[in-house]
Amino acid sequence: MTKFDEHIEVKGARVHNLKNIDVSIPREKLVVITGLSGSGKSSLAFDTIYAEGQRRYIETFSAYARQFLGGLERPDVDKIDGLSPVIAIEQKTTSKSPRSTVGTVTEVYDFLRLLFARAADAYSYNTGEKMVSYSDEQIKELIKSSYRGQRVNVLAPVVKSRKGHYRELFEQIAKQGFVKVRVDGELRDIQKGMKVDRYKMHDIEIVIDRLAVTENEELDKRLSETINTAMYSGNDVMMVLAEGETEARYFSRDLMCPTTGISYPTPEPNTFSFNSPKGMCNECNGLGHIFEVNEDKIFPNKKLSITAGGIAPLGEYKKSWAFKQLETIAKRYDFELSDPMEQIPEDAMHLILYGGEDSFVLDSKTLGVKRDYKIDYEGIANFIKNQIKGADSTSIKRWAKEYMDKIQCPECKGSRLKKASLNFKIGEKNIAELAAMDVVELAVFFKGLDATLEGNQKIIATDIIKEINSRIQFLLDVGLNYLSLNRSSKSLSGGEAQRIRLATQIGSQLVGVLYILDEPSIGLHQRDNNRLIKSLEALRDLGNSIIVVEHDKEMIESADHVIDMGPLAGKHGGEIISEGAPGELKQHHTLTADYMTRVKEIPIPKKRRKGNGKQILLEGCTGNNLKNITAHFPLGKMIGVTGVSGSGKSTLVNETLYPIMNAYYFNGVKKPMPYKKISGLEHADKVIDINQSPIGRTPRSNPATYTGLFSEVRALFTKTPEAAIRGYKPGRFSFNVKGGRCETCQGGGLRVIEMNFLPDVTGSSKPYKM
Amino acid sequence: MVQQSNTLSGGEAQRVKLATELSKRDTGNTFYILDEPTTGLHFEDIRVLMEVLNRLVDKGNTILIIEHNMDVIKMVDHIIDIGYEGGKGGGMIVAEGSPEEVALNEKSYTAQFLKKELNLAMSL
Repeated sequence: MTKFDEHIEVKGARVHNLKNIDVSIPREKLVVITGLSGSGKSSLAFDTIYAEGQRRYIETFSAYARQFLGGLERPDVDKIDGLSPVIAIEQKTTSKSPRSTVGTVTEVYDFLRLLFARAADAYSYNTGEKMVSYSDEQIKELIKSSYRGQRVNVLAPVVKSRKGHYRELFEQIAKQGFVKVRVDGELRDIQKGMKVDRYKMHDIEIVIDRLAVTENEELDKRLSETINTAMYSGNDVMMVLAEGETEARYFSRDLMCPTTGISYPTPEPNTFSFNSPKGMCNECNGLGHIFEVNEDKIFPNKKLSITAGGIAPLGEYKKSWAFKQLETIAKRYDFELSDPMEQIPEDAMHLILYGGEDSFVLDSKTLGVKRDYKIDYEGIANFIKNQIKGADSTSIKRWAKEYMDKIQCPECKGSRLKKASLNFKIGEKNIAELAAMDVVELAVFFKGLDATLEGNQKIIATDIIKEINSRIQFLLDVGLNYLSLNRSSKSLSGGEAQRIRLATQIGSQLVGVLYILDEPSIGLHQRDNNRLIKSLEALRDLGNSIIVVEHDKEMIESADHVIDMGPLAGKHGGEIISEGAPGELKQHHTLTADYMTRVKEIPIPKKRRKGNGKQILLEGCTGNNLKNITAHFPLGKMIGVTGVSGSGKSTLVNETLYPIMNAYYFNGVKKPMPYKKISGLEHADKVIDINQSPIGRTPRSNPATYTGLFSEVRALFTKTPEAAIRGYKPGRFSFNVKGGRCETCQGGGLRVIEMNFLPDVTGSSKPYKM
Repeated sequence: MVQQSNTLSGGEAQRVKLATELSKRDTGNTFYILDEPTTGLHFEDIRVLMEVLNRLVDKGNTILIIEHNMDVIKMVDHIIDIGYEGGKGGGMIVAEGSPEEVALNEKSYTAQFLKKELNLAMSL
C-alpha cells in the first residue's frame, strides 16, 4: 500500500455510472482526467472526490451547526484515503449581482480604494485646483505671512447658500458673545430681532475677531485662540477677510478648495466604493446605468389608435380606470380614443406620458348642462418609472423594463461614483479611470507610478502597490490581460470566471490543498493556453495537488499523470481505461490516445464549400473595442469567428450581428451595439442562436421536457391497457401536474429546504427517489 | 433524460438546444449562431458534432461558430480572425478567408496554430 502522503486512494467508487473503480491519484502532481463526454470524469472528480472532501469538512462542524446543514449525502464510494482539503474551481459564474466586478472579485479594487484613501491628492471640481487641508499651526503661519501689516476679520461660516430667516441663529450667535456677522458679504452688527429674507439664499459668517497682523508677542496667542474658536463655530472651516477686500480666503482642517470653499470629507476607503452610500453616485446608486422610458416602446405603432392597443403597456381598450382617465384627456384636447395615435395633439401626448393636473369645464351634449372635469394624472412614463423604483415584485419590474432602455448614468457617466470621489487622483488618474484600464495598462501604470510618488505618499503606497502588483500579475498569468476592473462579473464567461478564481487561489499561497478544476482552458485561445498551464504548474510547485478535467491536447501532454475514462459514454463508460504519464498513455489504443498520436483525426475537408454566392455585409461596427470594422458573412458556408480572448468576437457576433438579425426576422427588441450599415439580410430566412445559457432554471425542466420528447412518452403511456382501464390522461404521467407528481417534493424530485442565513439545501424526496 | 436542466453544464445545455433545433424542420436557408460549441467535448465528440453541423450547411444553411479550438477552425469554409490582442489592442479584423488563406497571414496568432494543424494534416 502506498503512503498517504504520496497518493489519494479511491476504492470502489460507484457514483453515477462509475463501475466500482479503484484509482490512486498522485499528490502534489498535475493530474488530468480525460475521456469522452459522459464517460464519468466529473463523477469521479467532482461527485466523488470533491463531494467526499466537502462532507468530511462539514463533519468537523459542531453538531449544532450541522443540524442546519442536514445530512450531506455520502458519495457511493468504499473509501478514500489521503484526502486533503479540497477546493473546486468550477465554471459557474461567481456572482449574478451587478455590484460585483472583476475588481471586487479579485480584490484589486479594494486595494485601489485603500491606496486612494491614503495617498491620493484631491482636486476641486469647481476650479481644478489642488485641495488643501491645514493644521491650526499652518493656518497661523499663513495668516502671519500673507496678511502682514493688514487688518483682518476672522470669520466662521455657519450658513452656506441656504434659505431661511435665521432669526434664532442670530439670537444664538449674540448669546455666545459675538457682536458682528457677515451676511451675504456685508458686515453687520447683530441687532435684537434681526432676520433676513426667508425666501432667498444666504451666506452667513460670524465675525470671530478683528485684528491687526503686526509682529508682537500678543499676536501669536491671540491668533491661536481665534483660530480655535473659529474652527469650533465653523465646523472645522474658517475664513480670513482682509479689511477693504471682498473675497475671503478659506482655511480648513478638512480638504477644501482654497478659492471656492467647497470641501470634501476626509477620504476613507468607503469613499471610493460604489457599493457604499459614502461613495456611490446618487443618481444610479452605484450601478453606473439607469433605466429610462423609451417612448418608441410605449407607442410601437403610431398608426394604431388607443382603443386598438396603441399604448403598448395598457393594451387594447378595456373598462379600467386608466382608460377612464385617457377619455377625460381626450375630451380636454378634443380627440377620440379611436383616432390613430399620430393624430393626437402634442400637448395631449405629453400629458399621457408625463401626467399633469388640470381642471376644465365642458358642456355635456346629452344633458345640456355644464360639467366639471378634473385631471390628476400620473402619466404612463412616470408610472413605469415608479414601478422600477418601488415595486417589490420582480415580475412587475420585468414588465416595466420592457418599455425602458438601459442607458449610461448621466450623472457619473458610468463610473458609479460621486463627483467628489472622482476628483481624488493618483498619478493624474482617478480611481474610475484606473478601473477602466485593462490589466496590461494597469500593470504599466503601476510600474511607472513608483517613481512619481514622493515622501509620505511613497511610504504609504509601497505596501499597497505591492499587493496590487502581485494580483495583477496573477491575472496576467492566467491569460486575463484584456479584462478591465470595472467589467461586471455577470458578463464574464464561465471560463473567465474560473480563471479569475484560479488567479485569486494562486494569490492565496496555500499549501497542501487539492484543487479540482473543470476545463479551465475553455474560451482560451491557444496562444494563452501555455500561460494557463504554467500557472497551474506554479500552483503545484507550491505544494498543492491539482486535478483537472480537460480535453485539451496541450494540457494532457503537460500533465504529470493522466487518467483516461471510458470506453464510451453513459452506461458504457465509467471505467478507467488507461492511466499513467502522457507518454505511457499514448501506447494504449484508447480514443484519447489515438487522437493524441493522430492515429485518429478530425479530418480536414478536402474541399471548402463555395457557398451560394450571397453574403451578409456588416459595416462600421464600433461596439466595445471594435475599431470600425467591416465583416463579410458568406451564406451557405460554415463560418468560424476566432481570435484571442477578449479580441471582440462576442461583441461582433452576439452583441452586434445577432440583435440586428433578431430584430429583422423576429422583431427582437435588444439594441445592437453601434454599426453603420448592414445588407443582405433578405438572403436568409431566420436566425437561430444556440448559446450556452441554461435551458431552464427550474428543477422542473430537463432535456426530455425541453426537446418535447417527454410529451410523446406521456402520450404513449396513456395508450397502455392499464392506463386505458383507469382512464389516465397524459397529466397522470407528468411530474409537473397534480395527480401525476409525487406530492412530497411536488414533482421536483428534490426537496429544497430553506436555510435562512445559509444557502438552500436540497435533499432527496424520501418516498420516490428520482 | 431525467437529469434536471439546471444541473446541466453550459456546454450540455447548448447541445440539448442544438438537438432540439435539429429536430425541427429547417428552412434550408437558416443562419445558425453557435458560441463555442466544443465546450466540454472530447475529440471524438467534436468529430461527431462537426459531422452534424456539416450536414446542416450542406443543406444550404449558414452556420457561424465562435471558436478557439483549432480542430473546428481548420474545418470551416470561411474564417474571420479578430485581434490582434485582447482588450484595447483588439477589435480589428486580422484576416478573413478560407483556413488555407488565413494560415498564411504572418501577423495572426491564429495563423501560427492553424498552420501547424494544416501542415500536419497534409503530411499524414
